[in-house]
Amino acid sequence: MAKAIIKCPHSSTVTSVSVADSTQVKRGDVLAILDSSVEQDRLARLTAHETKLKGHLAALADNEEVQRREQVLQDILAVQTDREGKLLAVLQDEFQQYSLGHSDLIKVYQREDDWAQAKYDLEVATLKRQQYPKDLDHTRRYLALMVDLVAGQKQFVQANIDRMTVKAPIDGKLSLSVAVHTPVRRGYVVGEIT
Amino acid sequence: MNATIRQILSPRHATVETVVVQNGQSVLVGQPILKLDSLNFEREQQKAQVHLRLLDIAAERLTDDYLNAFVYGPMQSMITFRSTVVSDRQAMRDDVAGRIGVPQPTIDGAEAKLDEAKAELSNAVDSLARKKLEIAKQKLDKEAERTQLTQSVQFMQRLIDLSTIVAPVAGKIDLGTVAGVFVERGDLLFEISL
Repeated sequence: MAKAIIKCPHSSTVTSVSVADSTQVKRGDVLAILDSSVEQDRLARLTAHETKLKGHLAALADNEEVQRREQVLQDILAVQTDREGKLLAVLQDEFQQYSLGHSDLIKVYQREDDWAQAKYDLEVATLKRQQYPKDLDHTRRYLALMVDLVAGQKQFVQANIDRMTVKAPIDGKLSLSVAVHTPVRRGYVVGEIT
Repeated sequence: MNATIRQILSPRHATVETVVVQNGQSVLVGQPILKLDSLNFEREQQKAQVHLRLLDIAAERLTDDYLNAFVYGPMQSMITFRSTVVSDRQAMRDDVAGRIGVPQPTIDGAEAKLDEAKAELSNAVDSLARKKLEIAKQKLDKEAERTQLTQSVQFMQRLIDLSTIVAPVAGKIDLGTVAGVFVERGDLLFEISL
């Protein structure tokens, strides 16, 4: 009477058989190895993805440079806004002082538009600079979780690969039902130990 | 005297992870006998939990404070800017048209610039309204996703709990399997003699 019936946990092909039929085996002995190339490929892809994510995460650490650039941009825009305001004041002054014609009047209004644009650009740049550290923190936490997720997937795939190595669950005499290259389905009986 | 025997069959395909009783041991109702591997369910649960945490991070960008400051804020600034331009051009058109001796093409040009500014203001207002609708939809979608993920976590927990097979009645155990063996749905796990 069989003490243990050993079945295939996954559909695959037998790539190697480690023990001969009718031999005594001990618990934990490797009996056969099933083809795990599909899972190995999946593991490799996950590892590549994990490396990429970790790379993104590491790149975020170098955010001081980005923050400095944002600050420089804001400073430039502040200078620009100030300049536009001064130019407008000069034009308005000239216009009132010399009672210039309609073409100069149009220039004054256009300068007002330019000043409004410069103020808007500065406002947006200031907001972006405030937003940057918050978004950076979000992205960092998001990527860290994605790394966790991929690590979990890898663990799962690795466990499936491990199961492709069929081991003896108990000591006893093995009656083997498969040979190398045998295609097996999930539940296929690999052997029995009595 | 013939004892009544209850057969306990595997509810699903799985690897028997551990067997916590000895053959021939007397057990009580509800006593754990063995555990089927629940890696799939644990993996799914872990995945759902990570996605819930990702949703938490995403939700931080959907708070009123964040939206008002960094999403609606710049758009509101754009509306203010466009309004200023409309006012300027309105004043310019009135000023130019009110002057004596200004050629008609100059007046037409001022009129065209005003129309252009009004169209840009209208676009800015529409963009803000569209963004608010889009955010409202995003919030609803995220909430639905959260409910689904929470249910998934609970469901997986139930399946994990059910992976521990307990004695449905008190009696003496006759094991039909051992740890490390792959079983299919309907395979005998153990018998209990009442």
